[in-house]
Amino acid sequence: MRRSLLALLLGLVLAPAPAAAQGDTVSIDYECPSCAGGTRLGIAFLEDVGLQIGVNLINQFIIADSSQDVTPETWGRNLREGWEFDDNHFSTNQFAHPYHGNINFNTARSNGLDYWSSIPFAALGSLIWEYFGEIHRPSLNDYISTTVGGVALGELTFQLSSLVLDNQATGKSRFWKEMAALAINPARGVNRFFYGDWTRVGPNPPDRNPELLKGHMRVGFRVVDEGAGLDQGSGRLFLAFDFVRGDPLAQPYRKPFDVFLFSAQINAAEAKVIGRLSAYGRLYGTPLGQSERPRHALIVTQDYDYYNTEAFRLGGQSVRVGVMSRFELSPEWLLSTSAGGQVIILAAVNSEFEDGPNRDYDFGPGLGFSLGGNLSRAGHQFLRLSYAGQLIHNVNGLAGNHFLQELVVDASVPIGRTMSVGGQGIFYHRRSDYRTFPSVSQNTPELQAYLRWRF
Amino acid sequence: MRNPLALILTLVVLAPGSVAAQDGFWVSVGGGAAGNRVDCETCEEINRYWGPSGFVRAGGTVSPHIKVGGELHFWQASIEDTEAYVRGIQGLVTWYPSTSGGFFGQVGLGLSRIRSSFDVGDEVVGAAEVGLSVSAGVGWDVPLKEGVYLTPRVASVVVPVATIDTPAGPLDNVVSTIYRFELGLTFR
Repeated sequence: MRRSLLALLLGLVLAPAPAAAQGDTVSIDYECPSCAGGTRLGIAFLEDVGLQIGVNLINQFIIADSSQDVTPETWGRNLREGWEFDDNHFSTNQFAHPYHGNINFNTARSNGLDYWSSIPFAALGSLIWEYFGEIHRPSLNDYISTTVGGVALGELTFQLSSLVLDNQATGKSRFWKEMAALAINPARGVNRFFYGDWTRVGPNPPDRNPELLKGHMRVGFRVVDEGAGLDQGSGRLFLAFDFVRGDPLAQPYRKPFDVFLFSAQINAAEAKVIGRLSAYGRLYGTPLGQSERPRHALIVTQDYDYYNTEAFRLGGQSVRVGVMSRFELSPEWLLSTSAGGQVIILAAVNSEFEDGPNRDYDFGPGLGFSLGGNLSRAGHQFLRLSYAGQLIHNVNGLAGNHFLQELVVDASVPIGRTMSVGGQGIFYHRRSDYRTFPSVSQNTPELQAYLRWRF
Repeated sequence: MRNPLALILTLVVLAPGSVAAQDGFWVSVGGGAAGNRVDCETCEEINRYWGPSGFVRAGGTVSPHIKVGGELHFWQASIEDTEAYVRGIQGLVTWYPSTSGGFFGQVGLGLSRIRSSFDVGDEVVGAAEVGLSVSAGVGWDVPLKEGVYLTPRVASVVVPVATIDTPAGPLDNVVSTIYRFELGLTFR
């Protein structure tokens, strides 16, 4: 049996790269220089499986997490009894699992596979973990958030690490760039180290374009209404980042996440430090109209959202289809608008459901729509308005539907070439109509005052 | 027995020359048998039911390794002389590790409707609910002639719903897991 297994594994590891086997034109992909134009399919498989074993062993023997003391009996029971929804913390289900999925995805992505071909590895790693990595029955919400959220975060971290990496750098500069990429995308960093790409000098991928990365950082205070009124809320420090790569109107679509947006907010004096994480990557785009400088474009994005504050919690994976437009009001003033629909694959929404000490939220798929407008002058954003609505149909938790709305108004004035001061008002509303429980309305206004630095 | 098994697995994944390169539009139709494992928060035990299943799926080709498409699928069974069914629609991503081999893995997401009937003496009462459907499976395209393939596939579809109201009371947080053993004809 051992020899057979070894033969199978060797067959997988040493199998010719599909790109070469099928007689395609071989093109060197400098995203993975050591892949030499092919893919390391077998290595990706072994890394994906090995990652689950490694995480389990660390949790069993170092962290001493008894939920991962797996045995053949627990595997058999999981296979017999099948799927359920778990009662873990919101942050575990909506952040930790997608992060784990990001590494699963990148075991393939960093071995030369493209975005689409890496998706099965995110799913496979999650399946193995759910059935064999924990003593609990496999959790369907984990499988979805690890796979779909993992793909979104995985491609985002792959693209972010590509912006940091520089195959032409040498010396200390090269070392720190590789270290930064390792922190952003551990699977890629480890593969680059073991296959010699940390030190190999050569061309960069032709689409490496760090100059297209724009962003801003905001630091300030926020006041949240937690039920006693906005005037009773206390000011809390926050730090927020927004990174945008590319321009969906100016750049023709080339590949998934060639244009992306990544936002994060860190909140002080809250139960959870990470208050918001959002990742939106373009999956498809085409200009509308024949103009050389198109004013409108149709775009499809894959979205990951995570909001975790004391006032409300919302997380989920979705796909959005929308139209972005840009109007030049004058040589300096620009109005950008967006309108779109959203298919929500699975969202987690705080609710009146209670199952154990950690589970106070529902799960469900849904539909959403959003409208937005942004007025800017010479690259500086003066005014932003956005509205989003979502209808979530619960499939686990309390039977019923959630209707969620969020209105954001943001205004700022420049105080220098790259600095500005501003304020933001956010109004979040949840109406939950339950089948066997009274309907609930929750209003959560929030005010922010901030200093913004554009880079 | 074990050595041939390993050999077969290797051949299934890597066997060259059995399928032409993936390209263009494709459509597949077929059916088979499926077991449905039903569990819920208020259920005393996990129940299993067998019944026929079927599907129609169609789509396009994203790359030599990837096909995407949509699927309509159904499962139904007679449970204690009443009918139950699961019908759904889902998007599928199919991945061929080797473009020269027919083996593929498949994942899908969509919506399904679970309906059950209950005999309450003088009448049959129906209860239905719509839930998410999540699927994963593996299969093999075996070439029959140019553009036509025989496609055996093993797949699992999981359908969670928050509540099904029955005459005996609500079944909360139901999870229906359907194991599909199907044979299809694929045209492309």
